[in-house]
Amino acid sequence: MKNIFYFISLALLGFGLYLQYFYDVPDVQATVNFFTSWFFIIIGIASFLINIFWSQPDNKKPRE
Amino acid sequence: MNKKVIFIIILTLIALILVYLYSFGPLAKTRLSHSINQQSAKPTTEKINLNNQQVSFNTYHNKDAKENYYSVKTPADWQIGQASVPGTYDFTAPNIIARTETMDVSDNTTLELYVLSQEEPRLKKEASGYKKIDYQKVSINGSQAYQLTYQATENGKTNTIVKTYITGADKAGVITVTVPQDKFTAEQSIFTSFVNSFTWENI
Repeated sequence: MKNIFYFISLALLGFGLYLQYFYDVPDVQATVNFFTSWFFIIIGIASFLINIFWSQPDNKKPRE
Repeated sequence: MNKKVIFIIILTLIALILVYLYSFGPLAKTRLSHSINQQSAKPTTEKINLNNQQVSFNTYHNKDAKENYYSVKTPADWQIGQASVPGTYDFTAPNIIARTETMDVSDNTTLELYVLSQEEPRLKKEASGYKKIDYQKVSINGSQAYQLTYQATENGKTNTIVKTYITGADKAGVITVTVPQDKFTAEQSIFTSFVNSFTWENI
């Protein structure tokens, strides 16, 4: 299950980077493209990091 | 949910708010001005023989938008205005107002078709007292171009406007020269040399 979330996160990040650097955007859509690409990049990075930290405990207490 | 996850969510929300402000909010202007290359407004000067007279010309190399680098030469006494849109120059001379810019043309049409089917009807609608004078295909430094000459009235004065659309690898270049109707013949050689100086620099 966790691997699926990793895949989705990386897909979002990749799609955002594609829109930002490789997609030939018409002038009238430049602002929408800027917003959409950064939206996907941020959500992609955030979901990837959340996936990493979700199951980790805050403070590692020694087991008694 | 641990503290790290909460921190990431808060950081994400802040980043999304900033992106929204940079896209549609008050910071959008900052984003546009960042994409204007400061070097684009710094000219190099050279002397050119025009009608047996040595005239000083400034050459501006616009490097604002990748794939759309171009240069134009203007007489040294032309004043350049503050650029607000990337890829654009505004020049003023005593009898001439000139603007160079780049224009996006969608891939499913040609520049000529776009000029005749979109641009000309738009000008007809927007320019007061629009009267078409001439339309011709020209070549500017090896690039196919379409030149539309028309008259329009502004504040009771009739101006002759020459709009030149130049095909490019990505966008099209557009040069607009506005001259008072009675000064058109006198200024023609100057603004023609300006229009003909347009050169794509990334081809």
